[in-house]
Amino acid sequence: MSVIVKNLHKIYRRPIKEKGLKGSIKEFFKRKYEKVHALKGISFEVTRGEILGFVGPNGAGKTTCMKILSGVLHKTDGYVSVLGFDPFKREKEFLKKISFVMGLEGFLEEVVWDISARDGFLFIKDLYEINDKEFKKNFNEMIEILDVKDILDVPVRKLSKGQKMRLELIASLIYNPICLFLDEPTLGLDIISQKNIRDFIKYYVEKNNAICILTSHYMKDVEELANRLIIINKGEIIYEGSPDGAIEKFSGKKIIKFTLKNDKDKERIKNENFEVMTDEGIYKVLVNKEDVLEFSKNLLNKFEISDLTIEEPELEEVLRDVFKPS
Amino acid sequence: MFSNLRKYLSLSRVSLLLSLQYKMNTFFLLGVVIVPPVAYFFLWNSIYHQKEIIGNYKLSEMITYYIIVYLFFETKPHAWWDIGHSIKDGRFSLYITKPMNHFLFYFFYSYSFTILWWIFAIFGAFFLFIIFKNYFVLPKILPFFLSFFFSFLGGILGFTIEYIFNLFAFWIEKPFGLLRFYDLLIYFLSGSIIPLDLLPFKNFFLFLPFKYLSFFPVSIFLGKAQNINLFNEFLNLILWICFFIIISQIVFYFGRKTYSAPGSL
Repeated sequence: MSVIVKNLHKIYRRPIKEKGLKGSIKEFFKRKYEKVHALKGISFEVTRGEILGFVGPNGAGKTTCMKILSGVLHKTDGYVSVLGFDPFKREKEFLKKISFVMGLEGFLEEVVWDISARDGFLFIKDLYEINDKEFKKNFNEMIEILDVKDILDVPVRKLSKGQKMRLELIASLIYNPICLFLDEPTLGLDIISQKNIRDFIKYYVEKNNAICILTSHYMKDVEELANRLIIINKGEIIYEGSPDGAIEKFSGKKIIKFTLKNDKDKERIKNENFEVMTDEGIYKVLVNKEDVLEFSKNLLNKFEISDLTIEEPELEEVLRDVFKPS
Repeated sequence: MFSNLRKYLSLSRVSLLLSLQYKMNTFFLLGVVIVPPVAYFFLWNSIYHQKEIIGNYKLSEMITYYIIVYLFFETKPHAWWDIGHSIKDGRFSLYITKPMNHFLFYFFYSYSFTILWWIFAIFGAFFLFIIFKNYFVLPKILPFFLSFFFSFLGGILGFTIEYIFNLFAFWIEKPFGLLRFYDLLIYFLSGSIIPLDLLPFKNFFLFLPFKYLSFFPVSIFLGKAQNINLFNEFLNLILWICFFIIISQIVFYFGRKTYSAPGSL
């Protein structure tokens, strides 16, 4: 009962549009296409109880891979097995065991848009053939944890993005799926909602010994949830392992954090020839590991510093560095 | 089997709740139900001026033809353009990851809108019967029920064909033109614009399956199908339905293979 991907390829074609009226007229008679190799033979496996973080820049192939695993897209080549099923066949038993949560739009909102979520959940109950007892138990538990009791009778379209996402999560998990595909589940949410969603996902996976594959541009999601990380770029896996291992592998750097005592230094530091980031009065500089001592010494000599720490950089900073255009 | 049916009935319930959510919209249906038949009455009254009969239709039969087609037979479950558009904008992904049949989902979703329409249509028919009493042909009991039975089956056929047209969105960049063309084509070929037996090459039009959408049921309603073997027509209609359902599933299968799930959906 796991997700197995072997040598997975996805090639699709997309139209190329020349600019201007002339281009449009030419395209009207003969459209040009280009082939895009979105996945170039990737392989990995995810077992029960694991949360796999799938990260990479836009267009890296993360969502394409998730769509193949959930049966939305047809693979070009390779082997895919999800809980022992071929996803593209869309067998009923398979669809009842998976859940695909898309951050931008959800099924509940799509179908019940103008009526209450409560009515929507009754439809979900029939759709997944959940018995009354199980439905009641799951429903009561989830509305309690995600704190949505007060919004169940409000038309879905009238709710905020965070409220809708919490309801979508209930609709996606109320039938106890074993395999979760979460594509940007916290996209566009405020920090508190993000945290609620993350806590709930973690709780659900642990409780149900589920499999979860997660993509997110918020590294906080990946750092807090994922036991394992796959970094994908241009359709190829460039790293597979623990989040800490990724920092170790890709970052030959340390982060020096310090605070300055006086305003004069705050002005002076702007003229230094290193890139400095500030976060609520704390200055951060990414420095090569071998230069850390020298750099710290210089810093202490030049400026009046009240606090200084040397830390491993966070995943987000490391990945920003990895995917920085050369 | 029962739980399968239950999920689609539950969906129809959702769809009905949605329709009732828009109070003003629902209220205006009453106007939509009444105004066009009144217009048809005046139009055909002037066409029949100094004429007793056109083709084999008397004025009362012609007015009844249009009122019944408009109120009951023309408005059946519609696949809508939403299927085609959902394929283009990627919302289709939301549907195919759920344990349900995509065809049945849209069929049951749209049927409740049709039922709502029919409720208003019954009121409309009653009102129109009162004001155009002398221009209305009332059927006998058996033809009445048979016409609605054939209309129901014709609705399944029409929905299936419309569904197939929507699925062409897998290959066509913008399905708008195709779907608009389909709407107009069906409007003509089903006999909604003009009774098919008044057209030249009528045998050709009566051979096509589209007659079952409007023309054939209303012919039964008007008692004009007495010389037709209804059992043969029933078998013929069932075969057409099976044929198009098979085609729809083949198109769906190959369409899914080309689906690119655009956007981040």
